[in-house]
Amino acid sequence: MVVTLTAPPAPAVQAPLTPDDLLALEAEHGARYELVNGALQDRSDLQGEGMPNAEHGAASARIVSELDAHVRSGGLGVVLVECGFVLSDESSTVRIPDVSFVARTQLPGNGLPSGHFHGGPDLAVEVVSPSDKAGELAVKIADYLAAGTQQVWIVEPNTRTVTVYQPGGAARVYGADDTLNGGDLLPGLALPVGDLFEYGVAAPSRAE
Amino acid sequence: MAVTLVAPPAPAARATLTPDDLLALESEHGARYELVNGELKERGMPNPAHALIGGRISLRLGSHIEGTDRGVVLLDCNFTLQDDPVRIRIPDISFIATARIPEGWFRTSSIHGAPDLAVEIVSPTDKVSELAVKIADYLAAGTQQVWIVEPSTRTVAVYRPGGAARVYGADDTLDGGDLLPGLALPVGELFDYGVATSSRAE
Repeated sequence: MVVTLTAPPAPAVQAPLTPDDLLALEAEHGARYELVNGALQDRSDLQGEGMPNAEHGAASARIVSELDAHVRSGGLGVVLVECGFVLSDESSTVRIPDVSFVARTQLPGNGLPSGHFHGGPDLAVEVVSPSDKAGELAVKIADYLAAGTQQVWIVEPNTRTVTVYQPGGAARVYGADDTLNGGDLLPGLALPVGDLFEYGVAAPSRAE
Repeated sequence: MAVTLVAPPAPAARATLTPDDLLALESEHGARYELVNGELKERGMPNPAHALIGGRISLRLGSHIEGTDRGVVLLDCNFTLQDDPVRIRIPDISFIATARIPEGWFRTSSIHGAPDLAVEIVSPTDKVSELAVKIADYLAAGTQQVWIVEPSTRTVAVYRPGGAARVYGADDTLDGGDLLPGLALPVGELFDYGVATSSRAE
């Protein structure tokens, strides 16, 4: 029997949408859209090269695994995957980082909220996909930092680097031989960047 | 009589091109392609914002070094960063300090080596991953500063060897560091076009 899977059609756009509208869409479409100034923005750039690829998934899993082990052992807070953050109610901007961390002290009542978080995560991690546009990523980083995020990690499998952006313009590129120390946010972290790209199986040939 | 302008067709892809192949293509296609490990990489087609900002930066850099012997500011200049496998990059704007200008550079078709400063203005079609490789290529070849100019956020990110980086916002001033001492380039001015523009795409 041939089974044909059809993706649900893109929702009819009636900007500006609210964070609640996005929450309603997630029931049907999953975490596929972010909300930027009330307009839907496709996270995976489906007009381009499609859904997150294999290496995106593998690198994301490595980050979650390393971060979660450290955060749980220190009781530092919570590590989240594809969690929606309402960065600004006024401008109706909701972002969904691939991986994020919220410090215990920032959790409402020390627990998880129902629905979206309001405000930026303390750490937002984005793994770069081949189709990601530079201009859109720059806006995303700026959105997080403006919403109170303390560190944005841009993980780039192609160059095996992690670039860490912090408020006030501070930034640093960590190569495969460097170690991420987490700064004030994740004290005691010692995460060798090269380890994030060791998947236990061969990496794909690099597109350059 | 109606005149129809037709862009020349993209060159047929061949496995490994040489620098000479790229030069031959430039006569027909202009400085539209870079060569990375022998493969053509199309540069983003400049839009009006790109062109305006590029003009601004070259004007400011040019007037900063005018009348000095500090070096040269170049537009769309072809640099052979690496021979084997060949990597040819064409920064939107570049600067080479006098002491590092290669012998006979003016008569070569591609400067052998890296610029001291490479400036890239981000176009809407530019991919993050390709930009990251580009930055790494320049720094590995000896470039001291790579400026990534981002119209959508009105920022300039400066990357240096060894992982140092900084993002300068519209209220900040680029000082040029050791490379261009005395430079004071307010970032916001790069994006003040003096004419009306439509709202920024986000």
